Amino acid sequence: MTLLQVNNLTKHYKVSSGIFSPNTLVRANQNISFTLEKGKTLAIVGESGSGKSTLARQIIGIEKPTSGSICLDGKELRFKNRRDKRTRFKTIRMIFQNPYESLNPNVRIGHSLEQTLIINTKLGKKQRLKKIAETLEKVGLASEQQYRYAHMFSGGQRQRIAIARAILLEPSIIIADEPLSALDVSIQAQILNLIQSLQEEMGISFIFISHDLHVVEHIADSIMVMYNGRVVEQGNVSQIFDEPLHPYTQSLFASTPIYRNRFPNFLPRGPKKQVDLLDSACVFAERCQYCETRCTAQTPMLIEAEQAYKIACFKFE
Amino acid sequence: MSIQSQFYQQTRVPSTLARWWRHYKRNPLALIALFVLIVIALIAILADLLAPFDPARQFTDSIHIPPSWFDEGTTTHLFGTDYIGRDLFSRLVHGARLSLSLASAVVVLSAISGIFLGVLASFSNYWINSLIMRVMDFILAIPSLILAVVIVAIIGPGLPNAIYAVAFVLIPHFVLITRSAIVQETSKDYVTAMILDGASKSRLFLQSILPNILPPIVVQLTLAFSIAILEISTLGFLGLGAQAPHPEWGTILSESHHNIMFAPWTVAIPGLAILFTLLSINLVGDGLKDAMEPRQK
Amino acid sequence: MNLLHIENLSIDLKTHSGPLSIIDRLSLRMSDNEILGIVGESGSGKSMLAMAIMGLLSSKMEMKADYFSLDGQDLMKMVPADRQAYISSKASIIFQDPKSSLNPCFTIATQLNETLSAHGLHARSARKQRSMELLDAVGINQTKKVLNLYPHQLSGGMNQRVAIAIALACKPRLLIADEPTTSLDVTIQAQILDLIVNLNKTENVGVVLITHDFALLSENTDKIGVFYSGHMMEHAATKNILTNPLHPYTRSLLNSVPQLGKRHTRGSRLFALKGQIPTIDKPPVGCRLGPRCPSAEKQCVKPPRLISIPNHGKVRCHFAKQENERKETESNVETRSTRKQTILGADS
Repeated sequence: MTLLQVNNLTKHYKVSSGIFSPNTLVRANQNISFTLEKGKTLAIVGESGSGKSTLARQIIGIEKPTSGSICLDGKELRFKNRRDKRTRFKTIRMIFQNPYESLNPNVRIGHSLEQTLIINTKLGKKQRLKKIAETLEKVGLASEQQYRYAHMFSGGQRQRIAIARAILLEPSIIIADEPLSALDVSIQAQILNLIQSLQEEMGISFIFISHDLHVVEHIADSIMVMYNGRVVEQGNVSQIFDEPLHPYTQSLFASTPIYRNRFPNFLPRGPKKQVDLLDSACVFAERCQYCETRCTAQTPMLIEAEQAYKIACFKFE
Repeated sequence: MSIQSQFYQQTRVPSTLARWWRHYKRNPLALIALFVLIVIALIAILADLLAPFDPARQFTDSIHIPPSWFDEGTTTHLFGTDYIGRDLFSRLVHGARLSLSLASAVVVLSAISGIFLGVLASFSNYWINSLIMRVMDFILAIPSLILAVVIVAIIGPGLPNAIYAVAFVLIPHFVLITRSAIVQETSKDYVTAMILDGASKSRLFLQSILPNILPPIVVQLTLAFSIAILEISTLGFLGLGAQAPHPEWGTILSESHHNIMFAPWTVAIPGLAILFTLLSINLVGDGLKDAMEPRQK
Repeated sequence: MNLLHIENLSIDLKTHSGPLSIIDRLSLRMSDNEILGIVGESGSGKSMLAMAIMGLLSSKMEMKADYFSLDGQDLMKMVPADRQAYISSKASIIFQDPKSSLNPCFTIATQLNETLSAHGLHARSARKQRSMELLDAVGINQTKKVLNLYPHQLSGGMNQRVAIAIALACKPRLLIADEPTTSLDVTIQAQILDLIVNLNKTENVGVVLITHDFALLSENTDKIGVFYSGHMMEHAATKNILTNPLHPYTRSLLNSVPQLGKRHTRGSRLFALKGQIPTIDKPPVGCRLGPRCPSAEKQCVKPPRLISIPNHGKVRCHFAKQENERKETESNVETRSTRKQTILGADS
């Protein structure tokens, strides 16, 4: 069952570069489309500046897309509409990257969780406390810990609290923006297991933003590889992890320890080439090992090569 | 999960306020300063009980009696008397009441309007924000004392006008502090998280931002308090604030400074009173700052 | 000869309520031209070791050591001023964030010049010549152009290369890289890591590579030291650690990373150590891993010593010998487990 459908989402920013020079246009997201099934995990892979977080902010509704639409359960979510906003905030929740910044330092944990319930539900005081206690226990904390402040918890525990805040309203989608990267290795596994068990228990769909291919392979059902605001390759786990075709995805694998032994033929990212690029060039042309003259002039379309598999590269047209 | 969390946790979790106090207590200098300040405040409150005489009563037979620790001093007049025979100790004690209450009024006035403007500026659109901030920049561009003098000169000397003038001068500091603290906090993830909860602007401010901008504002309050005391005294000294019979500290100084050569105590003692009060307020402010914003490990 | 030889190094943090132990009686030997990987989580003391070697500990830290030699000279016997000069001629360090280790106010050329003249190269032309060589050595192409740029005009990867070039300026015998790739993108990480490993061969420097990521170490290091809560838990050749980890903590670290090719299935869970990393003010009694260890027993309340296991390395665990014997008999019966295969495959 399709839960979330994103069609041709595009986000451009105008950046002013002084009074006398014209504004430059930053294309943060270009024509991004995907669907998310109920209870499944979509992983978005890409390096910093690839537009992953901008995409997340648009889906969750704190940034207005320049064009394109986002549909939840077949109904389009309008950015300005109050009612849409309410349902969107309730059904799509977010886990942030840095648990040291995502919790209010001067408010007791229970109090800030209670605010979420006061705003979004009609529960009475007793019911709210019960719900908070239940949720905290669900994420592996003791319910008495709700009287503590954020600074009394370790990084892993804070991320548990952030997860508790996300699942408190029983959402159907959770966007997790690099939820593990600020955590220690032995804690990462705990949080990953927690996310997985909550997903199985509650049937939540995840949009999991990450740059760690090991984690992505472990948790994702489908994967979207982004580079410079564009989707370059999109498919399910076996398609991406068994036979990645796009040169950028290949360079990702070639740069990751252990994976590079699995794909010994892939070329790692080379130095930036000095090629004359037109504005309309392929985003990866400069770094691509297979760059041809055509790539410097035209952008390859994201075409469906196989079922549920899309790639944007001239090699496969 | 962890072993500790399997047991019922009986340890009481101290509130943020208790935590601040715990940090504050570690600083002996700040603790002494707080004690001194409390004593001064008590003196101000209990002025009627403590002062042996009416501050305006003139002992015509004992003019310029030195303080009691001098040979010529008497125990009736602890700090001596001034040029028309008023008891200096009584005047200082009543002056403490006057100075502190005036300063409090100034701080309350300027803090309320300053914080309000700061919040308004940070939550409203570009134009209102710019308007407020440019006006504040304009006020800040003029040295505060000169501005206060100018204002008093326009609206006329006297106690209430001095209060308004000093309060007005102090407003921009509160606006700037409030706005920069709010801007800094708003960019943090926990505020975004609260926006994603669907919180209204007022709830966002009260529940999420306010507790985190309190520390800089509280520190600014103590600073403003000491500035207020100083400026009110200065206006008093210049004859623009409290008028002659009032035992305000600045006025006492200005009345006696002609006689500094043969009755130095009439200037030194009120001067020291101002000095110690300001010093302890500033030390308390410093201590608060350290206690509320401890260095991150 | 040992490039680095440390015996019983302890570092304490002085606080209001007495000293807190950050590193506890650490002994370490590193031979010439070796790449030593150090892996550990936050608060394990791994960065503090780097600072101690470089003599950069803050005044709040107190350092004690029975013997601390760098390239054959005992640092503990030197006067502080001499020590600092000696260290800076023998060792250099690169940090996690290249943006903050370079001065934003000066060009790359100025910063390189400063380091070069501090190491006795005063002639202008010679400094320029050497700067170009250094940038060339770290794989920067347009050296002339880069020399005149400011750090903010370069990308993160380029900045890290420049930082490495500055580190190499004194021709160090030891290069310490403290999480050198953590703040960089995946594709750049690989480049920087390859660069460091190549420098080890071409410039003949020993490298201490400090990281929290086991996968990074698995391919590039000769030996690995595993830190946990201020203790060295296991110190052995990389191959031994990967194929035959004897300490439960090493095992858990290896197991808690998703295995290659294991896809998400319903109910599949990673191995995860329970509980939290101990804070330095409340270290557990006995074995530091004790409360979290999956195979802890009664005797683990007594602190284990670092014991040598023949053909392996050093392990701080009461059960290391037993575990080793068990593994040996096991490996006679069954050639290799699946996990070993994947990792060995990765290693070759």
